[in-house]
Formats: sequence, C-alpha cells, structure tokens
Amino acid sequence: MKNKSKLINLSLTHIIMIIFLMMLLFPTFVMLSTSFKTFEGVLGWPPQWIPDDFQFVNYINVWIGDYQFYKPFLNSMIIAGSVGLLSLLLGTPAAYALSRYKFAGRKLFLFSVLATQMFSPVVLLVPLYKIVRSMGLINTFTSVIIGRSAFALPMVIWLLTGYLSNIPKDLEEAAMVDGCSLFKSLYKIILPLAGPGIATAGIYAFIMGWNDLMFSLTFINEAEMAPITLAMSDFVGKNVVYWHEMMAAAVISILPVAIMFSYIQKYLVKGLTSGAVKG
Amino acid sequence: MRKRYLPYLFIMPAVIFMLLIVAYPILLTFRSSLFHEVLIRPWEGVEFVGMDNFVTLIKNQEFWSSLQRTAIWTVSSVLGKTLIGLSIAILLNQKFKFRGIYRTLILIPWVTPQVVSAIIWRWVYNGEYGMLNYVLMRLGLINTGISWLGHKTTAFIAAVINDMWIGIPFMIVVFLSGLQGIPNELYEAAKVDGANRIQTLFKITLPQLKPVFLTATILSIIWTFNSFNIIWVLTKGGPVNATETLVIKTYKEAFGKFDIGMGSTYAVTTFILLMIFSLFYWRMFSEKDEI
Amino acid sequence: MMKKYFTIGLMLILISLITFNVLAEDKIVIKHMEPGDDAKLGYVHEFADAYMAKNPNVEIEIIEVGWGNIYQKMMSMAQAGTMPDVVYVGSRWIPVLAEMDAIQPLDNFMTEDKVNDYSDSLLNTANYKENQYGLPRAYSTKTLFYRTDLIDSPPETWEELVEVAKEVQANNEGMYGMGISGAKHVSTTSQFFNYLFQAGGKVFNEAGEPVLNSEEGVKALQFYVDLYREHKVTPNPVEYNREELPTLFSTGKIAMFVCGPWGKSIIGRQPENEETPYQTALLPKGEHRKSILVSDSYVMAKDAGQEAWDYLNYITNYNNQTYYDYEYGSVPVMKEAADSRRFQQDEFFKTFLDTIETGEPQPLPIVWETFEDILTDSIQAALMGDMTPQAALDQAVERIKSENIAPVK
Repeated sequence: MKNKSKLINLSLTHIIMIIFLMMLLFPTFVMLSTSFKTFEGVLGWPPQWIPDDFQFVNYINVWIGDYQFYKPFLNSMIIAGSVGLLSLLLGTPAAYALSRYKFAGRKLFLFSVLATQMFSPVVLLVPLYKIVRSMGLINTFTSVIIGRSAFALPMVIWLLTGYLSNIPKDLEEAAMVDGCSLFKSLYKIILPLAGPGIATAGIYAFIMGWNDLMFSLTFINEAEMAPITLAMSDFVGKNVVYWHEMMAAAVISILPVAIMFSYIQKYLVKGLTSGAVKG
Repeated sequence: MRKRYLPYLFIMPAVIFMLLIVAYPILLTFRSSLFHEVLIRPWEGVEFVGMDNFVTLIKNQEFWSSLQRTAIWTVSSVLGKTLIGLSIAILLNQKFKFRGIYRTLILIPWVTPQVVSAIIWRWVYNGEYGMLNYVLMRLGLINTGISWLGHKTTAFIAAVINDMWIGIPFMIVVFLSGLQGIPNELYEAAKVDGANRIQTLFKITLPQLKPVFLTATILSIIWTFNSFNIIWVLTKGGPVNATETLVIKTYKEAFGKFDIGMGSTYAVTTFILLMIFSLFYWRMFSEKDEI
Repeated sequence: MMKKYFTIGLMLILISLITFNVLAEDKIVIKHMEPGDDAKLGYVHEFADAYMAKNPNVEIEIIEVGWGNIYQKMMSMAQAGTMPDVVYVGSRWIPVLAEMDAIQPLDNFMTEDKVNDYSDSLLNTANYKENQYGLPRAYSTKTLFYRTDLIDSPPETWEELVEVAKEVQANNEGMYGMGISGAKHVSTTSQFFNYLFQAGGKVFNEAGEPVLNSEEGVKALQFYVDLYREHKVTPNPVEYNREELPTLFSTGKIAMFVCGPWGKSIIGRQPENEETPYQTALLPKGEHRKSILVSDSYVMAKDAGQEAWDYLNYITNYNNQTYYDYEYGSVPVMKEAADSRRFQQDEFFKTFLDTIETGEPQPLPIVWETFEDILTDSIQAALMGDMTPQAALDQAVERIKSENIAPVK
C-alpha cells in the first residue's frame, strides 16, 4: 500500500519534471536544431527537428571561418574571468568581516549593498561613461571589467557572507592560539573550507561578466575587442539574418558556462542556502 | 584593540570600489536630474532647473502609462517565476534517481546570456518560420500561425515568458536551498501529529521558507523591474509602446535623445520607487517575526 | 602573504590589459567605421587593402559594426572625442553630428573635379547649413520587386496594386500578395514616405513645420494600413522591417515588396532564376509618381586630417565608387556612371535609374532617432487599429513639435 503510493508519487514527479523540462528547454532544442541546418533548411516549412541536410559546417564557419567567433569568445573569457577574480578579491574580505565581526556601520553597509541592486546598470551608463572616459579607459577591457564587477559584488558579498558564517569561528581561533597570524589562519583554515562557496560566488560573478552587453556596447569600440554578446548583437543588426549560423554562435556562447555550472551545481544549492537564511 | 579597525580594513576595498563605480555615478545621476542637458543640442547649454524635470515627468502621461506597464510586467513575471520555481523546487527536494540530471538541466536558461536568450526566443516566436507556431499547430491548439511579436498583447506576454524563462532557474535553486535548510524534525513531528501533505506544506514548509522567500522575491522584483536586454532585443519597446517599461523609456531618453537631464530624472524616479517599495515590502512581510 | 602576491598578480594583469591598448604604432593609422552586411564589408576591406598596398606607411583600421548598434556607438564616440576618422553614416544623422561639432565640412578638401563627379541634388542630401559635411556613398531609390512567374504586368496604380496583390494571393496558397514593413526601424518611415509623397503629402512644409497630418498624409497612411487590415494582403507588418522582406520573398511567402537595389543581394539570386524569378518595376502611382531618395554618406571626424581625406578620396574615386555601386548593387552615385551602358543595359538596374527623376529627398529633422521613434509609434498604432490614421498622425505632429526636432531653416 505504502509502496504503491510512493511509486505513484515518484512517477508523477518524473512526469511533471519531464513535461516541465520539455517546456523549459524548448528554446534550447530549437537553438540546437537550427544550428545544424542549412540556410534553406532554416526557412523551410514545416520546420524539422532533426534536419535532413544536417550540417556541422555552421560551427566551423562561426568559430574560425567567416565570423571568427573565437576572438569574441576569448574576449568574453578574459572579461568574465577578470570579473570573477576581481569580485572575489574585493568581496571575500568584506564577507569575512560581515560574518565574523559586529561593527558599527555593518547594517548600513548591508543595506547599501542591497540598494545598489535598485539602480539598473542601464541607468548608470551615462555617468559611468563619463567616469570611464575621464580615466582614459574607453575601449579597454578594464572598463567593462570594473563596471561589471561593481554590479556583481553585492551578490558575491551576499553569497559569501552566508557561506563564511557557516564555518565555525573556533577553527581559526584555535589556529591563532597555535601561533598562526590572522592572515595565515585565514589562508590555511578558512579559505580551503570556504572553497565551494568561493567558487560559487566567483562563478556567479563570472556569469555576470559573460552576460554583459551594455557596458561593452558603450565602452568598447573595436570589433576586435568585442565580447561574444556584442558580436552576437551585431550579427542580428546585419540585413540578412543567418539564423543557422547565429544559433551555432549561441550554442558556443552557452556551452562553456553550462559545463562549469554542471560541476558546481551541488555547491550552488548549498551556497545559496546559507546565504539566504543568514543574509 | 586590533579588532576595532580590522573589520573596516576588510570591507575597505569593496567600499572604495563601490563608492567609485556605483555610488559616484548614482550621485552624478541625482545631480543630472536637476539640470537641463541635451548632449545633441549643445546650443541649448547646461542649465540648473531645480525640480523642473520631475514636474515635467509627473505631468507626462507617458510616464504614468509606462509605470503601470512596468508594474504589470513585474508582477506577472515575478509571480510566474515564484510559483513555478517553488513548485519545481518542492518536487526536486524529494530524494529520487536522476535528481542530479534534472537539477543540472534546469540551470541551462540561467547560463544563457540574456541577449542570446532574446535572440533565440525571437526565432522561436517568428510568425512565418517559428517553431512555436509549428508545435502549437501540430498540437491542434491553433489553426494558423500567430505573429507573436506583432501584436501588443502577445508581444507583452512573449516578453514576460522570455523573462520568466531566464529567471526561473535562480528561483528554483534558491527555494531548493531554502527547503534543504528546514530541519527534518519538524516534518517528523508533523507526521506524528497525522498532518497530511497539504497541511504540512502550509503549516511547515511555507512558513519555514519565509526568509528565503522574502529575499528571493525582493531580488527578483528589483531585477525584473530593471530588466532591459530582453525587451530591447525582442521588441525595442514596441509594438507602439506595448512593452515600453520605465527602463526602456529611460534608455530612450538618455541614449536615443541623449537627453541627460530627463534620462536621469527617470532613473532617479525608478530608484526612489524601488526603494520605497522594498522598504514597504520588507515591513509588511517581516512585521511579526524578526529575521 | 599568498593573497598579496595574488593581488599584485591581478593588478599586473589589469595594468597590462590597459597598456596593450595604448601601445604606440609607427604607422599612420586611419580608423574607418563601417556598418553593414558581410558583402558590403568585403568591398570595404578590398579598397582598404588596395590603399594600404599603395601606401605602406598607412594602416587602415576598419571598425565593423551592425546597423543596429552604430548610432549609439557613434554617439558615444563622438562625445568621448574618439570619433573614427572616416565614418559611413545615414545622411539623416549629419544634422545632429554637425550640431555636436563631431564632424567637419569637407569643402576645403574637395577639388572642383571631385564636386563635379556628383549631381547637385545628390550632394544636397549630405549638405547641412551650406556646408558639405558628407560625401554621398550610396544613393537609393526604391522600386517594386515582383514575381514575374505569377504577375504578368506589374501594377501601375494604387488600385491595381491592391487588385494584383489580391489576385496572386487567391491563386497561391500560403502566399501573401505583398509585404510591407512596420517594425521599429528606419525603413518603416521610408516605406511609408513613398505613399505619402505619392499622395502629394509632405513631412515638413517650407517653413519647416511638421505637416504629416494633412489630408494627403492621412490618405497615404490609410492606404498603407488598409493593405494589412482591410485587404489583408500582407503578413503582419509590425513583425518585419524592410530588410526582412526579401527573405520572405525568396522563400515564396510574398509576391511583391518595395526595396532598394540591395534587395537582390538579400534575395541571393539573380532576377532570372528557376525558383523565384523576379523583376523590378516603377512604384505604382497615387496622385503622383513619386518615390523617396535616401543617401548614405562618408563623413570625416572633426580632427581628421589630410591623410584621412586622401584615403576617403581614394575609396570614393570614380572607379572604386562605380565598381562598388555595380557589384554591391547600389544606384550609381557618379553622374557619368548613371549614363554608362553598363547600368543602362541591366533591366533590373534601369528601373532604379528611371526612378531617380520621381525622387523626393528624405526629410532631415535635427534628431532623426527621436523622429523615427515618434513616427513608427504612430504607424504601428494605426496598423494595430488602436488609432485612426488621422489620430495617429495628429499625435505624431504634436510630438514632433513638442520635441522640437523640426529642421532648422
């Protein structure tokens, strides 16, 4: 009796999940399917899920052929990687302080961190543009990196604070009693324990950088330095929209991050737990 | 002695960085909102006009209709994300085979850059060649293709769906983590008391989830309110102004007309609205118990 | 300790990223920004390469950008004082660039011979406040593309246009008689202006005031809207800009559309082909036979010097210009080229040349983008049936007035 209801429950869960996933991944299927079509195949009716004239050449064209997408891909990697590093570098100490000390201004700081989320980056483009220009950073990766990091930082701090709060204070105190300096104990004890959390926060920031269009559109002038999102949006702006090649480009823009995510998926859930509950 | 300045030392780099890159531009925006400055009309000059821009804004019917549209946009999208996210999270919180695979697949929309997602959806929605029409026709739900982005209502719904699509994974992950934080003893106790599943859901799961719920929804509301890329790529605010939310409007003022004064006024107004709303929301939901 | 090294390392990376960008080069670098599709950019590179081969001390740096992004990018650059030396722009942007002091008049650079290469009316499309700010690069008239296998004789008048469209549509399942554009895109304005001019209407009167909502204007918009709402001979215009119509045409979804000569390259086939044979015809006439004239121009940044001009002069010389026109498929820009047999003998091209005399130039409001936004809003409102054409155009006129963007006289 009980087993039976459990079985029904389980199969119901699977059915709902599968239907949900089919709906959720519908655009993803369309993207994949289109990316293997010919131009004629794209505009045919009825559309085919698995194209008759299946071709892989779209990917080669996009990657190293006409479009040279490996360049924007590398640019995106540089930008997103630096955003991840910079956010962690700034965010980890701040999160450590928030999780370990009660100090005057702590609440104000936490509140300000939330408030920054209320200004859409779009809104700040004009003043940011002026700042970037006055710093002589127009047309540099640096401009995009610092811009994006500033907007990734609040969430990074939020995530990390939660993570670090979960690591017992006694550990580093014990280490310090043993004669370790504060920094040494941080480096030896805390960082390794917080590893998954730091990775999660870093990847969150990485994705923010990977996602960026607004800052690179505004600050970067040369096609050579364009990240993948900008290259994609230029792709759309041309007269003929080559959907098959565009979708191949889209797959390329999603794949690396998707692979990274599947690795940290477990930690991601844990990381957010502690962050959400304590934050 | 050391401990007193230590925390400040730790937060210093982040604070300085945020002050320079976020706070300073925000201040500049506040300042610009008090000036008349149109970059492409240098002959009109830069002039201090006090609250004039805000008066113009409040008197402008377009602002009010855009605000209303933004509210509908935010509420419908966040509601969808929350309900779907919560249901799926509850399902995934059970222990069963292949759970890991589901959890991984669910993250795909999240890792899709917003612009790229909008490009994909535009292709899905295409009235003549789009897969959506094809599938709906095959399922017998519609007879002829619908021009999804070509009508005001469908374009709005289409944009909401795209925005939900991007946002659902985050919701699932956050709720899932919240669910895992609920102590098992509570469920055991409920079982002993003979509570059924629905009762357990409303008496234990949801109340316990409240802090997570609050944080997740408020973040989602702020992000959705300010969502730009998806609408811009899908419709540019059209047809007519069916998808012209406040952010799109702000962008058009600041980067279409290069009217820095009015653009900043829109930005500041959006900020104030969100700020008031957040405080109110936080109050309303966390009145009784402390978080 | 490690952390410190890590910080220093990261800083070094950041600093090196900055320096990479400012590394000085020995050669004279000319920056040239060009929007467009791959075919067009191909010719641009071809000319630049040829120029560099002749002038080894010069390096031409081509900044490629999509039409969808160029306006914002150009404006950001103009404000930052980093406007590229040579930029290809829609002539509609010349007023604003000139007012912002981002570009310079070319009068001092242009020799008499250079001036004589172009007709006066064409030079005027890139002239602002008596200064020649742009060198016209592409000049376009619009014609009616139609399927020769489905339509025996192209429609001559508005009434015939509707008739023919209905007929083709009735005889071919799954095909619309025609395609028009109504997306938020510059082409929606010029598609509508054809009918406006044909009805005898104007965008701005002699004094520079908006008069779109005249009786003629309303009649034109009514006709445009009726094609979709009343006669139902077009797919939903709001979903398409003009540049997407050739693709609908080449896949057999529509039988007619109005476009410039580049329609051929987007279709991707010659007029005589098996699948979708087509030809061009003069636009059907309303009260008048009229069509819109639009030009794109090269402009030079405020601080660009002689080297930039020499390059610009080279890529726009008679041979290169004419080669580009013919290969890429633009209406010939140079006076003499238009008369050459090469263009006259081509049936496809000849229609575009014949259209020139019916041409009426594009209006030049001070801030084009805002004007475009206002007008497409109104056209869409009428297409959606939210407003009558009269109300929609009244609204447009009112907004143009309140935004203060009517052209300066």
